[in-house]
Amino acid sequence: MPKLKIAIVCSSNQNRSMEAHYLLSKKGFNVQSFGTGANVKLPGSAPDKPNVYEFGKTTYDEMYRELKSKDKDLYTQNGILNMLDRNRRIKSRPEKFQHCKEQFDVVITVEERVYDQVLEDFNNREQDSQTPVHVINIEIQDNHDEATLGAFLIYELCQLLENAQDLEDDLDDLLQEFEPRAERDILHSVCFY
Amino acid sequence: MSEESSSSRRSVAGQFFTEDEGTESSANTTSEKVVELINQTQLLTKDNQKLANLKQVQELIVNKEPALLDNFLDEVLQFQHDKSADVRRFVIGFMEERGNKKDNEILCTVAPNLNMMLSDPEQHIIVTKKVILCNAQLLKVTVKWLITAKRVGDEMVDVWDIMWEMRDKIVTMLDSENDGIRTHAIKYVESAVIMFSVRTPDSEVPKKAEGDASLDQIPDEHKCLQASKLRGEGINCLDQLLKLLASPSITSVNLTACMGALTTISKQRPAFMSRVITAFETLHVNLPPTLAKSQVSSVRKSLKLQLFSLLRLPSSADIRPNIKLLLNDLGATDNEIAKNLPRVSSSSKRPRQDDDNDKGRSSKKTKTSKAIGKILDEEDEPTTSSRGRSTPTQVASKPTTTVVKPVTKLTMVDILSEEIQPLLGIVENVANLVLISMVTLPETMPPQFQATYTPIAAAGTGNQINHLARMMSSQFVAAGVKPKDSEKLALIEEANQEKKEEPKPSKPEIRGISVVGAGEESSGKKKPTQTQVSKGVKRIKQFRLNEITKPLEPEVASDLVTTAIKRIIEAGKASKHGGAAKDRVKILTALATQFGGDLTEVLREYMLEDLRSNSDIAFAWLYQEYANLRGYIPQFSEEDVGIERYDHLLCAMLDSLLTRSDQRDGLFTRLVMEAPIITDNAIKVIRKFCEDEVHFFSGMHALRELILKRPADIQNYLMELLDLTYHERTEVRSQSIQYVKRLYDRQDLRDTIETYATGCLKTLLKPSPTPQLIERLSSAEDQRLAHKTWIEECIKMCLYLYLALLPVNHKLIHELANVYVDTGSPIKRIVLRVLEAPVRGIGMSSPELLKFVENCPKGAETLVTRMLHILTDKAPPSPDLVKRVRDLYNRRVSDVRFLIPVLIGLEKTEVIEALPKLIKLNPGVVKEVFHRLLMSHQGDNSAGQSPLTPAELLIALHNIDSAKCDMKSIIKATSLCFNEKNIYTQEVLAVVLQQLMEQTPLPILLMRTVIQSLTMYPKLSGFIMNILRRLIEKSVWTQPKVWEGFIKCCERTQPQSYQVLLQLPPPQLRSVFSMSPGLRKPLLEHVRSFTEHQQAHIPAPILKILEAEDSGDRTLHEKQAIRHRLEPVQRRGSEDSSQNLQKTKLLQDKLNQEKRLQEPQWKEKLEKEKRMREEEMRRKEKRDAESEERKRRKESDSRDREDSKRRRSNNGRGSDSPSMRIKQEPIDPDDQPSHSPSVRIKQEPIDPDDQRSEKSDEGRPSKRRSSRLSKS
Repeated sequence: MPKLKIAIVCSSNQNRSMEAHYLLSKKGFNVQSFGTGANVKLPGSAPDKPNVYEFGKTTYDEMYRELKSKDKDLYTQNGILNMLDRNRRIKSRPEKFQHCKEQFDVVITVEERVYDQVLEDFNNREQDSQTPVHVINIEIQDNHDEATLGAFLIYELCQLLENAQDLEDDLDDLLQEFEPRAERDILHSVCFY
Repeated sequence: MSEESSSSRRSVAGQFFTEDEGTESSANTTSEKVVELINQTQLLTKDNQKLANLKQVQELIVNKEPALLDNFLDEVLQFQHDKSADVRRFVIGFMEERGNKKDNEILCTVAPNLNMMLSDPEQHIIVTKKVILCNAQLLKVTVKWLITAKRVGDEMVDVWDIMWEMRDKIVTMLDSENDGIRTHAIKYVESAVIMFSVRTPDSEVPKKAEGDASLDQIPDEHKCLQASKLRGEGINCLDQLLKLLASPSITSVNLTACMGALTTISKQRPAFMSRVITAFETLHVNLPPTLAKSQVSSVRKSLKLQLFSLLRLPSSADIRPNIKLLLNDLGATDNEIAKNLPRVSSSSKRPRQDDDNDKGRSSKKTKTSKAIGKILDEEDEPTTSSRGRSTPTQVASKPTTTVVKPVTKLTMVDILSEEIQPLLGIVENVANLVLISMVTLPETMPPQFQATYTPIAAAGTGNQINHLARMMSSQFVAAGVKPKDSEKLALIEEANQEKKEEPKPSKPEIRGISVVGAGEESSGKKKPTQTQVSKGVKRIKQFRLNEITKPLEPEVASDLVTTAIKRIIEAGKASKHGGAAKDRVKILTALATQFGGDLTEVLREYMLEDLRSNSDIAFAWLYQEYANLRGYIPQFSEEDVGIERYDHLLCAMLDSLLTRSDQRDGLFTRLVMEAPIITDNAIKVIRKFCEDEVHFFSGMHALRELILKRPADIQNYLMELLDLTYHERTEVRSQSIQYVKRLYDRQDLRDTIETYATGCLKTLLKPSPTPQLIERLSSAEDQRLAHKTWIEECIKMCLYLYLALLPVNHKLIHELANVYVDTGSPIKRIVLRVLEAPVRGIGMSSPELLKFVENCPKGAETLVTRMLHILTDKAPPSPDLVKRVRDLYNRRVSDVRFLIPVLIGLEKTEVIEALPKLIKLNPGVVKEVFHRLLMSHQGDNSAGQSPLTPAELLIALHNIDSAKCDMKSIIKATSLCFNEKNIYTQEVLAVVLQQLMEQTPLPILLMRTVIQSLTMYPKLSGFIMNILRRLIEKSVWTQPKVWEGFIKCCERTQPQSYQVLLQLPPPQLRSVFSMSPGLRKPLLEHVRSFTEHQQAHIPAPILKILEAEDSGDRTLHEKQAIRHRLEPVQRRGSEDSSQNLQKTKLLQDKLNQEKRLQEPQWKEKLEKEKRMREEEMRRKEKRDAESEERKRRKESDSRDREDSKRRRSNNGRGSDSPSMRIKQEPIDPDDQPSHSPSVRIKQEPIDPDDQRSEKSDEGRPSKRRSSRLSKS
């Protein structure tokens, strides 16, 4: 049985999705990560002044260098540089889910808004192969700690999925079982490519 | 395919390959590579390697040399039989890939293979899924191919048939057990629906699917594709999907997939949109109950998403209000909705919504009516309210609906909701709806409701009412209610007929748990029958009937009902034969219970006629009434159901049983036990049973069963039973007391019973019986008496229960004593009389009783005495009891009577000490005392062994100090002893006499006893002679009374006493003669009969005294006269000794005078006599020794027996010596040669008891005999 193709999707493809991407790839999963937002946003010097990048253009490395030159202390202190450093070692740049033409078996989103966007995207896509894809949402707050915790939850879930005999048949029960353990609300939907 | 054929195929491919080898090198190398890869793959074992190889093959064929496909297709297809599911999946992918390409002919090969794989029940799930996916693609291709083909060959028809067959299989897979397969099937059905339906201008077709086939492209006369059949199939597929969507057990994944599929269908085929939306509406309010909370939110989210995407479609314009309402319900904000509206219509919609919202703030009533107005306007129906209020916005909104309307097909839901809408405008209706819904609300909020509930944003607005109407109508439709507007319905049906199918998808049955719809659904069902609200709906079904019927006159109606009931009753036999007996009972009882009145009467009459055979009705009815009483069945009449009806029924049944004379009371018991409630009146009837002569037993039994088995009302029943314990009738009373006694063992009832019994007892303290008590007396005479004072009956009634409990709980004795002390003598008397059985029941070992005796309350002495008597009547008193009584006697109660019961338990000395007092009591009591003391020696040992042997008792009596007790009492007491001949045998008396004689001074009554013994046992005379002789030795004459008795004794024992008299010293002899002159002559004659020699032994003074009379012959008759006078006195002497004494004294004086006159002759005579006697004595002694020796030898055996017997009867208390002495100093054998032996021989059988005890002792007689022999 080939490995499941897993996509982890967050808003900017920086923190939560990359954390999980990192962990899962380390554990040997066939995983990719994406963002769904309009742009890649990173916290800036003030709440109203985020650093905004375009998906698919700026690499993590470029961001890293830019921010480092902007205010090394601030971005070291808030962990952004550290995060970017990790990210650039995983892949070159943030990717937008909507642009990805690849087919996945499971798409895991990290917050409801992202989940909605993913569903919306699938809805707007033109279905062709009718291959089902399962979209699962696990709520994870957008900060470093929660991202780490969330990554482990996702890892746990992916293990369950990977080990399932018949994923599609077992998925419902599996999620029902997983939900109370994760102590988070799980959303789940099936879409088609 | 077999291995051989595959290898031959390969060789064919090989040939092809060799043929082409020279022509094209690139092709060559490619095909060469392909062959190599395939060969390799055949040999490989690992799945992933196989896959990698096959992928390479695919790559080569597809990208480099498509021409090679034909050559290698079969080779690749071989792998569909591979063991690995993934390999097989790949093969399918390969087929799909190929099929999609232009060379459609390949389908001919692929289709059968696919079908084969699909049909395999053992097929791996992922393969099946892949086949389904593949099928979806290939179906399109096939159809396209068939349509475009210039000529439809047979092989194409075959392919189509196979595709069609597979379609059937896949559609059925919507019910597969596997979630994933269902999901795939859903997608397949989606594409089938799209393909088998007509593409319209407003269809929104994705660019990729632009070229896909659809129904409209099928030419009219196609060889195998028939448009009508396909359309039907398409609609069938849609129905399947809708059915799945409404299935209560659908999983959330399937639900999502299904919603997605339906949305896609709606997009591409707007004709189906209204049905889809209706289905969504139903789904929204009827989410499957199996979903978990998060699944519900997932489903709602995706439903929202789907609805938004539908909202955006231009084709959804006419149905948009519905979608919007649904979205509102799903929690979408107006903003979101607005955002998703197509730009064109947004301008016209926005203001109206704002308008609605603004109005929502105003008062509800106007708002509602306005909303109704609006709706009615929209529906273009006549209205009574607020037509004039139509605002420009409403008008503006009008066109959108009216314009689109003709285009849309009306559904049943639409029509129904139109009808419901105006009705919802009436406030009363809404209120009723809410009220009814409240009743049917579940106890707790279902989780689904909690999860899905969104506050209704626009409550009361037209939109909301509109939506509510729609929701209700979708429920109605689901429940099968049809709109009244038959015209429109007909239209729909017509339209449906055109389509040759049903107007609506078969709606699911109403689900067990619905979410939001719970209230509406149930109220919706009730409405037609009950509330005004739904008049419109109700009319559909029942309107005409109500119109044409008139209510019957009440009399006629009730008459009809009654006769109907009667007919049912009469049909008893028929129903039994027909097997409807149960139903008949059910109908009868249900009717009687629900409608009461006359029906009850009729049925009761029938039932009671023969309750036994109608018991089934009886029980059914009783339960029915009970259920009614408890409100378990819906109420039809207004009247309040009280317990009266149940009560009345139950009592009537019981009463009817009471009046029956037969004894079989099984039904009664059953009725009592099985009745759900026993009412107070029923208890009264049961009581009647208890008091009834015939039925009392079953009544009591039922009562007891109630107590045992109905703990809830136990106190009630118990009181009833207790009340019966002082019933006048003995059998009732004793039965109930017996039950109470048994119940008394139960700790929980104990207190009640005890309190009750004590209460009863204490009524005795009242000056006269209580009215309740008096009531119980049956005779009027008794009642009259009882009013004045306590009569025996009443007293006993109060005592029965208490006394019955006494043996169970000894503690009660104290309270009894307390009451006893305080009551009057009549009551006391009765108490003492009835005490026997209970006291016996207690027994003397009871610690409570002992305690009671110990602390005997003042005034209760008689009670204690009575108890003691009862206790010791049959059994010896226990040491404990004796101790207590003794203490009590010593401490407080000096009445000696107190001791009587425990007499035999006392010490010997104590008894002796008490004797003087005891014998002074009245004769009856004394008798009792002696009875107690002697009884044990009569062989009746059950009452214990008296501390005194009979001999000791008699001796004790003799030794009573005359200062303590008058002689008369003692004499009476001794005579009591003598009366007991069985006890005071001659042996016993001998022992007594022997012992008494030993005493000094001699007891006054000694000689009296001697004489009495002699009277009783004349055979004792020998022994008595001995005694007399000993008495002479003891100078008996020193004690005048005894001396007097001595003389009397001598008188009686003539002639044996002559010898004794001769031994008296002369002065005493003279005294004898002076007191009893009649003795002298016989004695003298006796002496004269002696031989000379013998006479010589008699001392002269004696002879002289003897002969003194002869000289004084002249005085003889004078003396005789004196004697005559004396005799009667003597005879009476025992009765009046003192008187006697005086008389004898007088006599003596007289005699002394005479003596003085004849002194000389007297002396002479006496001396001669003495001489004679002395001589005779010597001779006799010699003879004695000889005969004694002889006799002893002869009688030793019998004597031994006699001895041992005596010893035993003395029980070793006294010494054996007296009896032994008797034998060692035998009575003079010459005087009574024949007497002694005969006495002894005869004595043996005298006392049968002794004989018995002898026998029982047979174990050791030889030993005793030998010891006896050695002694002798």
